Amino acid sequence: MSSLSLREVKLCLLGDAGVGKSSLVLRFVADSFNENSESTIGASFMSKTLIVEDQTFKYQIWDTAGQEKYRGLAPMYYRNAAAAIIVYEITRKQSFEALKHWVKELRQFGPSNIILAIAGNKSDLESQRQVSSDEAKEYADSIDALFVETSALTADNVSYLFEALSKRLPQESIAQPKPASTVQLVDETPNKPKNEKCGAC
Amino acid sequence: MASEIEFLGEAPGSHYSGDALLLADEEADDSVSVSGGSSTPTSQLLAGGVGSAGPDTDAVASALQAGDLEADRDDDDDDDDGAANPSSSSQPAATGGTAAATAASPARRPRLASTSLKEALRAEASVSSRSGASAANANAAASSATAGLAPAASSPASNNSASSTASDKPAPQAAHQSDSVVESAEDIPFNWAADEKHIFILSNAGKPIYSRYGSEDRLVTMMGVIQALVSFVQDKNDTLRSIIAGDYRFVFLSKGPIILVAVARTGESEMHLSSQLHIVYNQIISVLTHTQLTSIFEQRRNYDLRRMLAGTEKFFDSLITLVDSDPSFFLTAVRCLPLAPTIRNTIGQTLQQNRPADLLFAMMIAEKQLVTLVRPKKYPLHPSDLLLIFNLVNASTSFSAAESWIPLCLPKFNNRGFLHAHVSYLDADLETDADAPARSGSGRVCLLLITTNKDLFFVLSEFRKQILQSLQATQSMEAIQDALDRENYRIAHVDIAGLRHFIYKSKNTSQFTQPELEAPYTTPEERQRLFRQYQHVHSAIHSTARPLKIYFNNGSKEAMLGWITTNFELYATFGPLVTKSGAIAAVNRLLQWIKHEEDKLFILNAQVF
Repeated sequence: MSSLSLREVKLCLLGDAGVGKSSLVLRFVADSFNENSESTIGASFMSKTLIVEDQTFKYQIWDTAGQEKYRGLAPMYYRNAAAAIIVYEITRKQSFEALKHWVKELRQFGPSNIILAIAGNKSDLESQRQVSSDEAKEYADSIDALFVETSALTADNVSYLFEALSKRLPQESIAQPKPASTVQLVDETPNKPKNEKCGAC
Repeated sequence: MASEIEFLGEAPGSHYSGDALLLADEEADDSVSVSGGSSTPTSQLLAGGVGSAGPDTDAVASALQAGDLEADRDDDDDDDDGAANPSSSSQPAATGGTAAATAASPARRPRLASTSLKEALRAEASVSSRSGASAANANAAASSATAGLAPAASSPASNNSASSTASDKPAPQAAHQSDSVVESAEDIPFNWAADEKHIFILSNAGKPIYSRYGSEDRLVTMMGVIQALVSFVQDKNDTLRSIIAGDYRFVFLSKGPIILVAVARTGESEMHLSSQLHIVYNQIISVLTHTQLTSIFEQRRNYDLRRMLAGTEKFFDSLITLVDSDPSFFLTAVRCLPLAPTIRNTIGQTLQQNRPADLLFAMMIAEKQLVTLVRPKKYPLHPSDLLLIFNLVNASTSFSAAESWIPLCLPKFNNRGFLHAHVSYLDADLETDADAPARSGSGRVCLLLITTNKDLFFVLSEFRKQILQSLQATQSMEAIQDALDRENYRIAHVDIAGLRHFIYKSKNTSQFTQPELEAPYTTPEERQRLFRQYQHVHSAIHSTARPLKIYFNNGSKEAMLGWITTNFELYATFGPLVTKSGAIAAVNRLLQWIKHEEDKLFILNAQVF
């Protein structure tokens, strides 16, 4: 693949409910922030083109719902992903623990070559911090993940997160991983893995 | 939990109340709804033509059972809150069983005094007895013994406003009850009585699941009471359906592992409150599926269902708000965006052309109005399922920011599994590339593509683009936008003297139409009052005990006419000076007007594939 070509990257955001996944995406995609953000139902899909070092990335982003009842649907979103951002909020220790479960699940069931990023969101709430940067950094290093503390509210580090993530994507991982990133292919050859759980009729 | 078991075990009163309730329920189809429904039409019809219905019938009713009184409240809620309350706190004693009241309540007082739980218990217990009293006169001894509790329960609360749900009232200054009751009221800062209708959901184990107002955590004790009441009656192989206490009506719905309760002083009928509970139940199913709901509680009877419903509270809030303002729900019908039939056909064609194989339903909804719906011939979509979809769209602002892919169960279609819905707004620009401006996120036209195939998202996303192009090519988008910008038609377009407003439901299509509300229905209070009037007429016409074909009531503020045939239901509001014959002549002209406009107002031919 030539470096000037458009590279489609399937990205999936995971993490506990209320940590700010949708807000991060909204900040990245539309550079805006909604104070009255509602909890996501199911999942929502957005795309955004980003140019990093002369390379054009078209991010196709699955923003998943963090609630327990949607957990069973998560594989649907991460199984074809080239990258995943797992989000916790620095003001809630529990959300950091939940993150570790997500990492474990991705390691077990996710694509083997998936690029992981850990985002400690709500970094503007320094006074209420419960998870130290060092602890999170150490954990991220241990699983070979990118680590960034972000604030969707102030936009702090949000674009950096995506830029750094883009640089981490190996050349081949974009060309190879799943042809499913092209819509027509999905249409004609439903070559996605078989159904997970989740009660379909 | 222990305390109410103890209560039920020890208190003779509650035993009797149980019996009374059983009787009430056995006769429920006749007697409960008789008291709720048919006495009203009678008195209403009598009052019709004479003058104001509300106050008159109240006076009549005060001589009757408390239950009858309740039904007549429909007419003027506003007045009732103020005017009827002094009487409601005294009436129970007068009507329920005066002698027994004085005999029973002193005996009860010491036991019930201290905590809010006990107070709630007492309210519930007394309440239940009253329903027995009104429904089953025969059981005089039992009911009067417990009915005596009613004044005890309601009086601490009722001096300043309505009665009952005593547990949550702020302490009234003039309370003539023991001081301990007053103290207990202060334990709860949230004023539960401030809202005229509450909906509670709890599990069969008594765990709180949802409360429309306030935090359900604060209701643990009351949930326990509700659970005890419901299971007590269930133990006798019977079902607790409703209770009347003063101005309040308590309606219960026990559905599998959960119990839903409505507590209202809105004057709505048991039929309406119960159907609202069914709607709320269906909302739960829509989020979880019946299968999941059942299996969760089979595995753990004690499960806290709030964990599974987290994030969806807004749908419940929105739904419960809508049932109090949108006639769709009591009519079980949807409103269509008025559009020329050719345009609507074109849009319908667009949704069908080159559709993906697994597409089940495709629809467009704009501002709570159906633009079009296409579906397979063999799979009709039940209007109550459609209303849940309306609520889904209405309650969520996040759909306008992105394409959403949501699991959705349509209970009437299939309550066992999820469908998957691709939800997006057609007039919000979702293509954000590097140089694209930030989205407004203010879409008005929502497209839903529903499928059974959970892997179809990208196919549907592509189909959406195709639809959008085609809509733009045929200028259908502009037509929809125009229809939305043009406000709904006014009653002046109908041009019938004296007619202020109407609701017309086409029964074959489960669709309805209504003009804009105009003067004098401009304030929220007046609109709400008119809405209750419509509900009241609807209730009277659909009363199971005595269904009516035509209803006419000449009230002090307006005259209401209801007319039901095999093809339609019509509810019309006139000025108070209209005569019955004048009103009938007017609705005949109205029917002609509707006939003339029907291909715009309704989707007459469902588009199927």
